[in-house]
Amino acid sequence: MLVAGVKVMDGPNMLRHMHEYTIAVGVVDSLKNFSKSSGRRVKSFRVFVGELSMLNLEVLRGALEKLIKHSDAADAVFSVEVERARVICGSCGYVMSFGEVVEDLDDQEKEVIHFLPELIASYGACRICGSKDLRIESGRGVSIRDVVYV
Amino acid sequence: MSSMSRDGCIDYRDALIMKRLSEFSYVLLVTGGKGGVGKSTIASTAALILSQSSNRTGLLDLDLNGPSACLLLGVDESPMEAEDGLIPPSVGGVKVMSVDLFAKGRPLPLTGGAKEEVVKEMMALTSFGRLDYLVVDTPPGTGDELLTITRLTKQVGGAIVVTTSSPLSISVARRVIEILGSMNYRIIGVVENMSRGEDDSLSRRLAAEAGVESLGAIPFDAEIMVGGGKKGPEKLLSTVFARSLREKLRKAGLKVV
Ligand SMILES: Nc1ncnc2c1ncn2[C@@H]1O[C@H](COP(=O)(O)OP(=O)(O)OP(=O)(O)O)[C@@H](O)[C@H]1O
Ligand SMILES: [Mg+2]
Ligand SMILES: [Zn+2]
Repeated sequence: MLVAGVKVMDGPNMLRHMHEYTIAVGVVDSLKNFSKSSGRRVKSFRVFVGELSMLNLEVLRGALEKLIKHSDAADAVFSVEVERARVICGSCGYVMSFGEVVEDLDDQEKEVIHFLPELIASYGACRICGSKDLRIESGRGVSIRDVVYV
Repeated sequence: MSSMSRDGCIDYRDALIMKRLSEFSYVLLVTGGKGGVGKSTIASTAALILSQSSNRTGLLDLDLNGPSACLLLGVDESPMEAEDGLIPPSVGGVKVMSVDLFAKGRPLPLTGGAKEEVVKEMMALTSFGRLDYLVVDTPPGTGDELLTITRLTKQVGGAIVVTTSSPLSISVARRVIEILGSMNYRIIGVVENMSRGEDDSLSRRLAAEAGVESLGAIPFDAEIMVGGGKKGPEKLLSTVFARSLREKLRKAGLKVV
């Protein structure tokens, strides 16, 4: 596995979407665990992908489709949707969009945010007042919502 | 865990975290409450000692505002990305994961809920693989990091409570013991660090009153101040401090030769 490994922060060319795969495993395992503990079958769910995670939606969707086939939620219907980022400055109240947050970041820095969105305050600041007191209101990571089961 | 909230949301990280935790035989939480009592030095050195004793060992640095494991052990590599998650860099046989591997010395203005997110993210993403021991360094105080990790590792965890002989440090340690106790977290013992004399009666009394074991005192050792950097592990392990800690870990029942 180490051979297949890619050093984090080696830049975008090295990105091979392994993070998407890890997350897909987590999503499908969560649904399995839910079914096991509740005795219910999942009919549908929605996956929201926060912009700050900078995940590849198609790769994530593909990985989910592949993994779910071999689970007890095999015929569950799901969608993969983007959740817009809203980052609020605690000092002046300005709300930054995804574009504003990543504007000045290089590829290595973006890769850090991709794994740990909370580190935006380590790498950037409020574009209006320069404060590092930033809070992610939405659009950080992946969430499973609107799970419908029978 | 891994249950659904009332509005039909599931946190996928819970499933990943459960899977990761099932690969750890033991989670050793190094706590203490008061700042500067030696938690990080003890956590890093304990991880090295456990690894040296042929245990598969990881070190998770959860001091999100003031991470110090990387500095203490001289780790500056980045984690490797693999299908199973992020593979942490190793030093002295110890797999080290810290937010500083990402922040690289930059400021970490994290608060409240953001800390819980980062702890969960690190737990979910890090692929330590099978471990005999995961040593966890915690920040001063009884904030979000401590509560989150305590909640997550209750089944496989044991805590060492670090204090000095100062009454202030003892009183903070007492609070930590109470909080861990209230969460039914196992406490494997109290260690008095930076001891300058024979008298460890205050920490002994604290342990006795709290009904937990006293592991004794680790002497003040000026040598460890010069540690850190690439030679960090070797230097740390060769100190009087490390020798004393080794004995405490053995006393606590950990697999140490
Ligand atoms: N037994 C000891 N003898 C001498 N110095 C020590 C001893 N233990 C720790 N120190 C020193 O005390 C300082 C604080 O130690 P350390 O950073 O491990 O404490 P901490 O409890 O993790 O602090 P914080 O609460 O800020 O995270 C360091 O400079 C360390 O080298
Ligand atoms: Mg510390
Ligand atoms: Zn601002």
